[in-house]
Amino acid sequence: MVPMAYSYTGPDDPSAIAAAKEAVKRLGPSRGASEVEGGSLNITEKSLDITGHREVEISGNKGKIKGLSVEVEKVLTDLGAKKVGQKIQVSLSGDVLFDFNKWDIKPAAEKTLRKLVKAIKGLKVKEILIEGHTDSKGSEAYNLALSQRRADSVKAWFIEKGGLKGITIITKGYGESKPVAPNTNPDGTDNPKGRAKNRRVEIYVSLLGE
Amino acid sequence: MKKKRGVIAGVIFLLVFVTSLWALDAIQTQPSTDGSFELSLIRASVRGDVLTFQVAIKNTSSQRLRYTFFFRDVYYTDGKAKKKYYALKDSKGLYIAGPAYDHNAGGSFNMWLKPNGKALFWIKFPAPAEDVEEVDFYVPGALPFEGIKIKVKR
Repeated sequence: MVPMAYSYTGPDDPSAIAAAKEAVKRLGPSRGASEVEGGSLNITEKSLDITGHREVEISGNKGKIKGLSVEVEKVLTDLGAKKVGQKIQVSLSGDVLFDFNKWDIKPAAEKTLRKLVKAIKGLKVKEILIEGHTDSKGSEAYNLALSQRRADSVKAWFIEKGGLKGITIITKGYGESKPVAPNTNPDGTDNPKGRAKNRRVEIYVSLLGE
Repeated sequence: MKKKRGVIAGVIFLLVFVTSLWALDAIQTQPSTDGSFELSLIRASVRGDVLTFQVAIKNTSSQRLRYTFFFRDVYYTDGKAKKKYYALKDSKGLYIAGPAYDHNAGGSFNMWLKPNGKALFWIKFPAPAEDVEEVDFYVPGALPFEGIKIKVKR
């Protein structure tokens, strides 16, 4: 059973109806509406984000981000960062960041995290999303919890040791649900290399004005 | 003989009725972009200044599926006025939507579904202007619901 946060019991829950009424009042006459750019839904970017990232290299002509300094671009390139839609994505190996079954950041990983934080500080950041991912060993529930704890650890490190303040940082654990490589071989035997690739933390940096 | 035929007809009618309930209730159905699930919009109603959408998800793949998204990434548009609306938040900053798996980014939906498994979610939005008759509604991972006629109970 998947744990649920407190939620309204349903759309006809009187407290949901009352909260919605109050929320609309707070928004005022505009009701929080924003302009639709181009007058159409931007389906393509969203669909590609979900089904498989359309990755573009940070450096070079494609995917160039406006206003990126040479230093920041170099650091991001060294970290293997990619531009995915409107975000910069960095994928960090779980084995580099954490010991087996643990979620505390390893001291040896701090150098990489410091590099990343330095680059982030050189950007105009709207928000950071940190995703935790595991391989398929162990139960789904355990892996979900572990991946969430790991994402939370990276967030805590960014704030407490990295000094990233005043930026919205969101964490999400995906457990084993979004593998990037096969956990097993076609004949059903274990695929340690594939599993190692799946143990990772993905960091998405959304930029202001992109 | 007549009685037997009547019973058989009744059973067939019941089966057809029950199995078609899913389709009957859907205002519109859209596939996911990766083909693993489909979303069916089963409610799009305005009451006062609030628009409520209710969606059913069905796992159409042969694998167990996890569907998750942040409520903040859901929106609808009023094509006429070229306006985009996001979900309503309560006084705690949480989206008035459910079921909420966690409160990250104001709340997210997260559900594991076995093959052919189904689940529901709902989200409240500010209603569009009174003269708006139809909207497009976007949920992550699926093609948008387009030209949705909204039922008004102002």
